[in-house]
Amino acid sequence: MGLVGSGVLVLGLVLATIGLYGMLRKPSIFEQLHAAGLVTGPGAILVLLASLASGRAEIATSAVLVIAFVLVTASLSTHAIALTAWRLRYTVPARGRDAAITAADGSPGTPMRVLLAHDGSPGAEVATALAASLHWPAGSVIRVIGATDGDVRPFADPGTPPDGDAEVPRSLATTVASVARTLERDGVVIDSVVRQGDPAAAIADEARAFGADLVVIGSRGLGPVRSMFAGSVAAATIDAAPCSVLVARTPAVGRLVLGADGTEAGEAAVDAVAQWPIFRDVVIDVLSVVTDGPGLGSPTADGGMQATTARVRQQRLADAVATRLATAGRRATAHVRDGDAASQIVGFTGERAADLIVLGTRQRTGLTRALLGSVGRTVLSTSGVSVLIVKPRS
Amino acid sequence: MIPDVVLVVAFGWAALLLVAGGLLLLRARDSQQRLLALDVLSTIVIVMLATLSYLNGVSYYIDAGLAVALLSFTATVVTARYIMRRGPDRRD
Repeated sequence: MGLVGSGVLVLGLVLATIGLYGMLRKPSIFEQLHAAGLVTGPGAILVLLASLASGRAEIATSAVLVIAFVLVTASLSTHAIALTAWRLRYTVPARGRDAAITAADGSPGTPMRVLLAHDGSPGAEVATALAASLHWPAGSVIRVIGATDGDVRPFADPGTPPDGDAEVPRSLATTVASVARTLERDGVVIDSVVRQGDPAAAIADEARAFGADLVVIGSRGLGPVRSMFAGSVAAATIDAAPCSVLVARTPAVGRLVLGADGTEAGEAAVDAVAQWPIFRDVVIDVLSVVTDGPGLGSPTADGGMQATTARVRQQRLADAVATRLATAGRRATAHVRDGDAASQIVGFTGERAADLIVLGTRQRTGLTRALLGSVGRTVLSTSGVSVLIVKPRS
Repeated sequence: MIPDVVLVVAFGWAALLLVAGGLLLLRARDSQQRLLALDVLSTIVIVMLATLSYLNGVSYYIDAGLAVALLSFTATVVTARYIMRRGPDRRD
């Protein structure tokens, strides 16, 4: 009896030792949780089971009580910690953080918090190139998020060499880490995180948790018909994200078209162009479109008069926006076009050879958007250039 | 009856595990890892109390272990919820 008891006691301690060794070896909380299960589960239970060999009934009774308690609570505690860690995710610590704090040669302006979405696709590479080409203000934080509903191997060995000439699909974690490295520069803090699940929802959640000012995402460029069937992650992200979204299709921005419509969302777009230092060296064309839709002028007024009034109002609006931008030190000119807002904006962008369209969004949801459509969404699917959808700060 | 020499060695061994757990606590990089380390530390304390109980042939050490298990479980769950609500550790 004594021999069996000793054996069980020692076995429990051996298991606890193995578990602790694993916890000290593994860097990730999820791997540590796995190892900790060995200590709090089998390790503790075996030591307590040895009480049956102690020869005292009251010790054995108490020990069995503790075993029953540990069986329930060990798994619950592990679950609570795992859930917390999963909700907060495990992020790779920022590289060169101390250097970033003391660096002084970044662009001036309010620091931004930017989330760069990457799924390993060519579109995402364009988004990375665009993010790398912009002048982020000093103190900005860029988090690269690898989001996919496919298989994620977060603990893959980054050093695996490619097999012959065949392109071995690198794990997303490795890709995201190398993307983060290409973005490194003085004055900007970079970190990265990988998340699995519906990409748009994952990006929106991360943007909320991270407190992002801007999400930069690539586009597959499927066009209006194919994206209707295949679904566009970029469009879904614009709907779900709590902040502005930049859908990147060009590796750099030299000239942008700003859609001015006088609404609150439109004003937010103007503010973004005026204040964000990334648009400091960009030539800006302000475009205001005279639509023949409802809400312009009185329905009883003379038709020609109505159109003229609307045109004058839109011209004033565009001029006012251009003046505001000029005051903020931007190079801006005002333009007015007649017709459907989305197609005019896309056509005008082609005319000016601009590579970015900036629009505010009214955040229509559900039925309203299904009936009225969204200018932003139409522009996004019909234009070939990058699109920045600005959302007002809530 | 478990021989006393085995129990004394086991007690010393558990004490060493407690030191390893303390090292784990010091090396933890964020709140979740610290929380996990504390949870494991309390389990090791329960193991030590059980060994002590066998050594002295009295049951009240194990009763104390039950109290520790109860407290550590409550504390872990409440702290985990707190960390979740507060958000990730600030990095800047």
